[in-house]
Amino acid sequence: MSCPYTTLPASSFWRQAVAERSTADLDPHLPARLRFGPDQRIASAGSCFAQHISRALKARGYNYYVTEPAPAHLTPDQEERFGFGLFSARYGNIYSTLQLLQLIQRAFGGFQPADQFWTDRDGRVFDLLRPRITPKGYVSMIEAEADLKRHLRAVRQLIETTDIFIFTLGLTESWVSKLDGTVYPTCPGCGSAGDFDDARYAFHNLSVTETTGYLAEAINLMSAANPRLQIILTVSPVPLAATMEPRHVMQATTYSKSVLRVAAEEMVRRYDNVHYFGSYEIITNAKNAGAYFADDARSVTAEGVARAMTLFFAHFTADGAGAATRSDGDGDGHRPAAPAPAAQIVCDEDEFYRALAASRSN
Amino acid sequence: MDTELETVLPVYIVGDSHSLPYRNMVFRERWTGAWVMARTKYIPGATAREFYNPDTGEFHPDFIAFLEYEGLVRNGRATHLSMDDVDFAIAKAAGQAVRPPLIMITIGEIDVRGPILQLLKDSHDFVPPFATTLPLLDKPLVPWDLIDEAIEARLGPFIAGLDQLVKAGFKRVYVQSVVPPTRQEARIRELQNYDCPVSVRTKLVQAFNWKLAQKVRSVNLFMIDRWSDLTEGDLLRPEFDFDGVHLPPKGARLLLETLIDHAIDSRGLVANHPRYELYYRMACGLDPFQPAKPNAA
Repeated sequence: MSCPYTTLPASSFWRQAVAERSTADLDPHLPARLRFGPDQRIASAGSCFAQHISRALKARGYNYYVTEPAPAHLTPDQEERFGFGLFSARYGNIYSTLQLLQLIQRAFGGFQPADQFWTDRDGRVFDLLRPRITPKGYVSMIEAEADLKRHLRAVRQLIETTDIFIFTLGLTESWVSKLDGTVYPTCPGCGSAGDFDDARYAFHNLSVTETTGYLAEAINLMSAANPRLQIILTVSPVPLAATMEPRHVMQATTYSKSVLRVAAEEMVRRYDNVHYFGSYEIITNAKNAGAYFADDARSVTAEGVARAMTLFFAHFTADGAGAATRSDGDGDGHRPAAPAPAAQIVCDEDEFYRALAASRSN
Repeated sequence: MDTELETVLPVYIVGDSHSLPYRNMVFRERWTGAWVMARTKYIPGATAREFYNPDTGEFHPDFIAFLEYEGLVRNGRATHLSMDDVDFAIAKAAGQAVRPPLIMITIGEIDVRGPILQLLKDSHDFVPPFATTLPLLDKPLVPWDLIDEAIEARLGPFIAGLDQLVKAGFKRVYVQSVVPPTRQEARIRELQNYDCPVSVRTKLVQAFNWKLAQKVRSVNLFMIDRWSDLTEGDLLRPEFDFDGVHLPPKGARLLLETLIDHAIDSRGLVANHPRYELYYRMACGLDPFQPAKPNAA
């Protein structure tokens, strides 16, 4: 018998697939099993990076499915400030698999957090599970609870009726309630709503087993509610803004992204309706030498986003088959001197970062 | 007895079509028996947003024209404060009040029914920051802060204009609250070309008035409101639904009576000190139109 490697395609070999290619030609995908067209409903959720996908879908005329739409006649600024259209419903950033699971459980009536709302000194009420969904908070608890009820109904409708759900996994580091395990998108009291209280909130870094288990449970729930649902998983290439682990943030980032990548892989192996899009590989691969990151080595440049989206549509859309074209200016391997102008994304994590910097400068 | 109330007391009512029910309204004020006479000016399409332009400092031209026509403004100045000898002589001959004139502005209904209501239409509801008996419908919500922003955008220029009026000496300006909207859904469809439930429309008017009252008070003026008399269960009483938009004269009369009551109760707050100073100087045998000499000491 001959060596089994001799039958493999070029994409299986680093030299042919990577070393001998320019960065502009790098494409870490084989033909996808899933293809969608403009008529299919496509929903998305996830970390900050996920907003690039929703914007690209809308910009290219795909049916980006929104079940919690903005009222008519809002300005784009108002829509963004109040979280309309950033994702398919107004859930804000969903960073961890446990956060996704709890959102779905809440939408289907299986979980009710014990510590969700926080009232500031002015009587404004904030939803700690989507702390920036109303910039100044709700005007009353009545408004907060009424809006939450409608939001969860919109999430349920989304899961039950979308054709495709794209989820970008972002973090493993989480802040949870000591009361009932509710997981928050950011640490309460750190740059957004809430008062930090170590008697009520605890840091928890999800293990690979937890991350995988929660993601599987979320997929099971979604698939049960919508048997024809197709799911695309991606891993955000954006490094951690900060770590609570007693180790360097680079090590913490490697751990977190590795766990998320393993969880995504495990789901693809386990479920026929789950697919993987390699935005992480596109942006972070060694051949690029950081070309798709800005000076802070964290922000993904507009060129990087464009390249990822080009490949996404090339592999997952019916009319994009084989059209993994080069993106202009992404092949020189040089990091830009300053962040290229990129679409503004709304990111709870960045808000925390800004608040932290401000508190240190005071 | 106050000289102002011994004769006919004019109330100048100017603004959108909600000024029309006051036209030719004359009645005896119930406390002193003085005659009250409404002098009205309808400015077609008048909105709060266009009442005053803070960038240019210009009022709606029809509003200024009305003040000039009624003799409330001459040569760009409030006549009741004028030290000009001609103005003084005219005022004396005409027996005009020595207090600022009573003015009521009817404005805001077009702002509510136009751009603000479009946020809600038939698809959304909202939760106001005050208690209301009106139901919260099972519809998506427009965040209150967005409603608030929309109202602010309309009221901002208007309140800036009111502030300018006060600074110019018009300290007895009243603002009529927006009247409760009709219960006739078909009439709204006819006016707006879309549906919007009466509970949502009414709640929006409540919210507009809630903001309007606060802002009008912030410039030391007063909003005229008889909501509880005009409504039943917070919805417009059918007997006050004149044509699906306006109050009938009997509803307008209620509002005007409230204005008169308030004006009588707050007379002391708006004393015309410059003119009293004139009388004082005349009583002392001084030429009222010559500036006072500084004390020799």
